Amino acid sequence: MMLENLNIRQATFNDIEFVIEAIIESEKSGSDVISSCKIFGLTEDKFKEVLREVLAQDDIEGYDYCLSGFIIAENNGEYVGALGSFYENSETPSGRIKATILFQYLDKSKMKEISKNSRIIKGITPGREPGCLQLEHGYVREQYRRKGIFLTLIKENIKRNLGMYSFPKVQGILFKDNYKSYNAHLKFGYKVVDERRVNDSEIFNFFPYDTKVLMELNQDKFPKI
Amino acid sequence: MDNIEKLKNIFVESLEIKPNTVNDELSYGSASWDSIAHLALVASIEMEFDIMLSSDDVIDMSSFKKAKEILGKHGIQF
Repeated sequence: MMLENLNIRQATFNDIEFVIEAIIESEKSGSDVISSCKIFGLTEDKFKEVLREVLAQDDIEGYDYCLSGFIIAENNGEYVGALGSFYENSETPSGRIKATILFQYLDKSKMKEISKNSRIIKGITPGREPGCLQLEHGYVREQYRRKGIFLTLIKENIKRNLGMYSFPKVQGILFKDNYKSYNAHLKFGYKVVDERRVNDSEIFNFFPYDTKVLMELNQDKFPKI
Repeated sequence: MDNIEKLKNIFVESLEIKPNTVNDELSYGSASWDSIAHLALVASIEMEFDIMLSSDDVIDMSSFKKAKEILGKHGIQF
């Protein structure tokens, strides 16, 4: 049953700690593995510190750590869930924006190690299509799950972005074995358009699963504004 | 080793690609040049050429050709 006092709004600086919780929990995808910590050689506390600084700096759009791209669901003033979004730009891909931002905060002496790690994980992440809205870091706190909140967040995020941009499709990249999220996307009308698996057991040193999928929602399935 | 060879080697090692694939057309998104490889690439460029790249340089480095232009601004001749 839906929550009676559910309120959906755009994230502000006051929500940074909850947005960090959303990013970390979505990275874990139901496991204990925080991929960014493994790839960049960071402790969870250090990763949180980096996210805190990145989310608090001038709002740079076009990639997944942009605070203004997040919407927050709350119930009677209590955090319930969050979902981020960004518009994939053809001129400056989100990946290059993210690398540029992180470059300011990561320990450069670890770059050789990061480079080695990149060789193992390359190929697992499908490419995003420029001109499409991307939804990332969806998260609903455990006690509020199975109430349709994740689907409400998807719907709300699309509606809000349709008021600002024109886009033919919505995309999301997730682990295929994260069944709850995968099935929720299918239920909403998403389809799998690309699937990437890495056949190297070392992948599990960095990710909880070995297969990522790119899922798409076409315009005909968009909610009405 | 001249600067062009030095830069080519950085691309070969950071992106794990063959030397003959490093040319002006090599761009972000092609081969294994993704966000994480980009981090490793710019860090190697800074270290090997002993320069400090700005955020604008890092985000603008979209191809091998562009990398040469950016390094040119830092006084590296090709």
